[in-house]
Amino acid sequence: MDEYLVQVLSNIGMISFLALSAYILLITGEISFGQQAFFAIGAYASGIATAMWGWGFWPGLVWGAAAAGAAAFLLAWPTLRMRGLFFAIGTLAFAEMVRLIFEIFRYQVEIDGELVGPNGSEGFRGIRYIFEQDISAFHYMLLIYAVLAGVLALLFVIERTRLGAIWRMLGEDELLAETEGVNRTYYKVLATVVAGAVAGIGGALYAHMNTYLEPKIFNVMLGVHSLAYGLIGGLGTAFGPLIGVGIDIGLLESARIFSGYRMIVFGGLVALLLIFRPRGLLDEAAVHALVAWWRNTFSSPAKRSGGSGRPPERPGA
Amino acid sequence: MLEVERVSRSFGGVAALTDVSLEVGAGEVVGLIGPNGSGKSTLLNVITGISPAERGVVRFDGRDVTSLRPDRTAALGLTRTFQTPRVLHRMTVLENLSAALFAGSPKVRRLRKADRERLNGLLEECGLGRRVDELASKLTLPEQRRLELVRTLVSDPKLILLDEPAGGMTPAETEGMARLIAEVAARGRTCIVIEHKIDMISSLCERICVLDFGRVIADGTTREVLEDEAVLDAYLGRRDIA
Repeated sequence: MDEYLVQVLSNIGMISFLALSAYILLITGEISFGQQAFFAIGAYASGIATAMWGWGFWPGLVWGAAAAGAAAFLLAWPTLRMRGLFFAIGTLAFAEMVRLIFEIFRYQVEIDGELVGPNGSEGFRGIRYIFEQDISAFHYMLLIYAVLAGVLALLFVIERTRLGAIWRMLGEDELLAETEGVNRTYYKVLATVVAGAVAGIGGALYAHMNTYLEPKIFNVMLGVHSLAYGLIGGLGTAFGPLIGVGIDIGLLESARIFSGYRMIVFGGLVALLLIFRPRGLLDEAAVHALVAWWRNTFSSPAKRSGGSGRPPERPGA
Repeated sequence: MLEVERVSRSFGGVAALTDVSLEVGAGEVVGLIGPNGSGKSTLLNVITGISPAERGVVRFDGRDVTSLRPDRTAALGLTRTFQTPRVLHRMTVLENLSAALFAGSPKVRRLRKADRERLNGLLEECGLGRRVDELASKLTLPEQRRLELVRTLVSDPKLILLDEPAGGMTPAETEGMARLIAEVAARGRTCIVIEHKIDMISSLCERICVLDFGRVIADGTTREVLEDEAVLDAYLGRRDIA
């Protein structure tokens, strides 16, 4: 496969984690401008684990996700008492704080006569695990998509169970959810932690593909983009944000025709969608219509009714 | 079952409730009436923990729930509807009920066949059986109010608080809603019903409590209250009764 195409597809895959991270919060009704902080924490933590501590890739990935999830917990506890815009600003401040901490964070060890580890604004060089293991860019891309498929599968399972229903309930009407028995703080903290961990996985994958991390990569624009992906692609399903990433990175960033105009087109697209489809291309209504079409076309008559096909029972008193 | 004892609540110096007391026994259906702004919805908010009382005590099933959060009062078996119907517009009718089931029953992790059948049955009973898979945003106002009512039944509550369940409905729709509430009450559910439609209240409730300017001005049997001088002056008006 063409090297450029592999790189574009790998970037789409890695940024998809960030988009899914923002999506998880969006469906619970929270707007975060700070998911890039967890992406950074996952990247640094897993890079440190493999490059400095001699860990393998998979423990490093899990450690990156756990560190990002733990940081998300620390953010969630005080900020989820804030609502709406205040939460958004809180996450933005947190992300900038994390970026600035990485600007001054120095932790290096000598390996084979060379200093390895984060060196403040100079960045973090030498995350070479993938190259040392002789994993090709193509195979690493496949690995990215395998992990992405795993995370997507997990999100699909969540969406079909109690947790997903409660997250969406909170996202649509917090007061109603609370009066029906939902502990708002618990479920929002949980969403923030899961979202942080998902971003952390993306960061870990990013660190090992690029071998070099620089704090300025994790700036506010990365957070804004991650938020916009869900709003472009849609919030009706976890596929939505992936469509957003595909449009931005796959089309606008990679196609030469948009060279130099990417941000103008991207910004315009976001503005148009916010006006005409505020919850994105694949919003809940679109997903509902697709499900109904699928059911009518392919399912048995029993399932088409939305129930079991049996006559309803009398409810218990 | 429910004891509200000398409860007060104010907003920015305006007293919404002053020394309000109310007792509701198990199986009772109590009407709560009064002019707009008299504190009826505020009282429901106080009982459910949305807007906790500043003074006084609320007991539910013998337990002090005055400062409990709404999710805690819901877990004890207290559920409600709202003056402006609150349904989850981005979910289907069935999903609205399943979300309520998940919210109210921590042990239910995923919707099983038996749960689905029960929820479908509830929807059939309230006339929404054909709209199970519709998005709730497509429901008419009376349908949304029926969905709200049936949602309160999902978690098998002990006390149901209904805030203007027939608000904005035509006489025929109001009659239908009154029948539904009567069916719910006939199964032994305890209910407090806020409503301006006196015919509906008098057909449903044996007891009525009247609020005016945040104070209880009458509390008694429906007949007593509807003939009460203070109630006639403050709310019903004499011409309506004549």
